[in-house]
Amino acid sequence: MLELSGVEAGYGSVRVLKGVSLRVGPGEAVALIGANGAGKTTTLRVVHGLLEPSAGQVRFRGSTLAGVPTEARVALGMGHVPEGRQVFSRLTVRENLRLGAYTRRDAAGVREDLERVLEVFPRLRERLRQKGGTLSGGEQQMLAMGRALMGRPSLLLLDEPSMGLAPLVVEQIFRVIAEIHRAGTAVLLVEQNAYLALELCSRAYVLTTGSVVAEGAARDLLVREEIRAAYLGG
Amino acid sequence: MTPARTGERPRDPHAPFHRAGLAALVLFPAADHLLDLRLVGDVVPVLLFAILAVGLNATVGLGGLLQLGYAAYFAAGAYAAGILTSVAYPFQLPLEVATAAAVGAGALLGALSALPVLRLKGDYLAIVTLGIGEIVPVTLRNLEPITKGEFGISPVDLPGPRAWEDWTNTTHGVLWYYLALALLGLVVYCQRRLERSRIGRAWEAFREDELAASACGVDTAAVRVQLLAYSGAVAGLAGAVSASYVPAILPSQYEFPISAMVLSLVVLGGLGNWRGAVWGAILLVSLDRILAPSLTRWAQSLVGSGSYSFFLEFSNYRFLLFGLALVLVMRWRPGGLFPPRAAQERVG
Repeated sequence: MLELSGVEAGYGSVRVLKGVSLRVGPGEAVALIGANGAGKTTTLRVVHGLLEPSAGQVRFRGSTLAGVPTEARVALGMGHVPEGRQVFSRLTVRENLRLGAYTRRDAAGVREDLERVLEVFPRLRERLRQKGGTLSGGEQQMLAMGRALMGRPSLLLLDEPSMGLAPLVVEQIFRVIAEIHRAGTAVLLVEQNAYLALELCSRAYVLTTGSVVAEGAARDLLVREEIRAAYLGG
Repeated sequence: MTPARTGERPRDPHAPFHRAGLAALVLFPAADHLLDLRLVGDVVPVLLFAILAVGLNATVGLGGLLQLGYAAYFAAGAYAAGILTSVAYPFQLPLEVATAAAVGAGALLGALSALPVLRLKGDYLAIVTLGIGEIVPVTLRNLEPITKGEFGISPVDLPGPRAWEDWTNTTHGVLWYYLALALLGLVVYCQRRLERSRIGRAWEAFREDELAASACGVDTAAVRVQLLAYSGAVAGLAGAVSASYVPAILPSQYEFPISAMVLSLVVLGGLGNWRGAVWGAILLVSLDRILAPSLTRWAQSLVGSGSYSFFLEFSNYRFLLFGLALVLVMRWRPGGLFPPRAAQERVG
């Protein structure tokens, strides 16, 4: 479904990604873990077209994404939940969700999906008329995810969904991600909390200073000594 | 609240005041006639400024793009109307046709001026729009074969069939008043439809967070073109009508002070809501165009026309007072004089 091969990218003269290759199969949940500054967010930015790679290739559903702008990638079936949530704070929750379906023209399907998202996140239903900026951190994360789901993505890109949230809320968010995945959506999850990520995903890539240093089944990575030492707190 | 309305924005608690204001606008010519104020004609430019404010409010308020050269689009509309109708040119089309062309000219100039700023926002975009606002009047001054330079264009055609012209001159004010009011109503109607449409939502999303908007599939370059073209079209309409009302066009009418004035109306009235733009414009331009001149006449009649009379010319204090008002509003009423739906901010 998604395939990166030898992707290099950076900001100005700073090279952040030094040849990243990874793959997400249809309906698969893949984690991208690594320390601060390893290039996890940059990888997602490249996938979503916010940053053009200087070398290498990104392919999605069999065709190359070179030169395809972000908004067109959304229409192709990529949903992006950006880091720090980034909900539209002065728009209502409903308006936020409807913007998630911006590229879609099937009004009936959009209504249906709105209902489904509100079933997944009952808290959002209570807050439909409220402005995005008045929600709590956890609710904003739900809104950002709900918004991405409104585009009916076949691949969901999640950037640090646990960031800045209380443990109980994180647990809730991850339960929902698992649900979304079970319903057939492929997930590429970038997460600092490697333990959580590895529990949820079937495969994972470990990124260190812009290169993939380990990959494999999450089960195996969870027990590998050096991974435990570096990312799972021993 | 019925379930069908869940998620809609709450009703505006100020709605009765807005309705009263609307009634006052509709009935004003009658009151003016009864009280023999003879102000109807003076209110026409006020209404035209309100149209400009609503148009600019789309770019600045809904889209969050700081537009400092709005007078350029006003000029585009005026010159399009002037060139197409005036006897000094070979076209001499009716004003109605020329007005449609003026709307197109404003939109076209807007779309063209979006091209250099497809990736800019904030101060950088503001500087480019400021530049466009400077380039246009200079071009109009110097492109003499087409624009007649400093001489300007006059007279510009009047609305209605040619046979009406004497009649429009005698009852001048009232007809113009209702024409301007109807056009303001039309512009407000379009703006409301737009605000609630998919396009309007995309504009607001773009204002809130460009990155998140593109993550939702909003083409942010297209949003810039739409915003500048739409507000350009509205300014083009106002330009054509005001050129016909005056009925002359001079390059000096389309310079930076106009852009600054319309922008202050939008900020003072309340960014991002058309009601604020309308009432802000009506209140402030009335003060500037109607109250200030009468105060001037009154003050000068008290002291006689001595060498100090210049200081009693209240219109000269226009930008001093507007600047002061801007500072005060930003300090005490950041949502503008007529903020939108206060209830909406409530945390539930």
